[in-house]
Amino acid sequence: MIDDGDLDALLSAPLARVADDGFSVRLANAIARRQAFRERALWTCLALLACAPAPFLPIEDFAQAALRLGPALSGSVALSLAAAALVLTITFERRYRDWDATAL
Amino acid sequence: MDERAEETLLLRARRGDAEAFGRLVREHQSTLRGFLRRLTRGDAALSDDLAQEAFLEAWRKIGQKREEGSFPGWLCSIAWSRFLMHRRRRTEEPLENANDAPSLEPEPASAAKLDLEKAMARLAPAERAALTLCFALGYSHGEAAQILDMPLGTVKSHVLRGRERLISMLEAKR
Repeated sequence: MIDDGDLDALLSAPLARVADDGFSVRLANAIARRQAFRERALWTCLALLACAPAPFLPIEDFAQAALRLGPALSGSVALSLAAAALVLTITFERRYRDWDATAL
Repeated sequence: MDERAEETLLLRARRGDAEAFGRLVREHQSTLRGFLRRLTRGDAALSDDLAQEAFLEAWRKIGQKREEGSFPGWLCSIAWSRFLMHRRRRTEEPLENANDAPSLEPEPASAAKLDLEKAMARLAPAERAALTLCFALGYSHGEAAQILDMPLGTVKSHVLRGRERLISMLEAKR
């Protein structure tokens, strides 16, 4: 005769531990594959969108304007400062991300 | 893993940190796969496939996870809906009693535990799920109702009916 107490004790026993056996690694690989696919799809769409108007743009005019403005821009102090600020920001952001990843 | 470390990992996973999510997976894979093995009556391959689908869905929807409710509870609710979707696709398992022999994996266990697993495999999936959540995983009836997306009364009656049927099956075996 099995009573309620016996049954409760049996039911309340924790589930048998399931060994990982590479499950987490396979899942991480599946996540990485999906992310890579999504990123590739996104960048492909963006590239296609960016290239779509190319045949209708006055490319020659752009090239001439770049040749005209190039020397002036290369000597610009404001532009150099902006580039330095950009480099510093990217470096700081990467360092912060690395630190954040190892914080736990 | 303590609650605070898990919260931190969840926050990082929400920001798209796959490494943090990986640590959550390693922490909870055994519980989720164990729960799914109960649901699939010991089919290790099927339960692992469903667990993988559930974790992938969790990764996709982690930004939508509400603050209330535990992470493993949320995982179990995704796993349960994945299991139901699979059953709808296959419709191989009868809704009520499953009288065929369960494909339980051989593992060192007491005779009583083995008998229980065999009897469990003959219960309806909802009864199996409710009993596993409320006893082996320690959720309250209310939490189980949330996980299974069922009214509280339905969960209580699944637990009650499941227990009665288990007792009669285990007694018949003796």
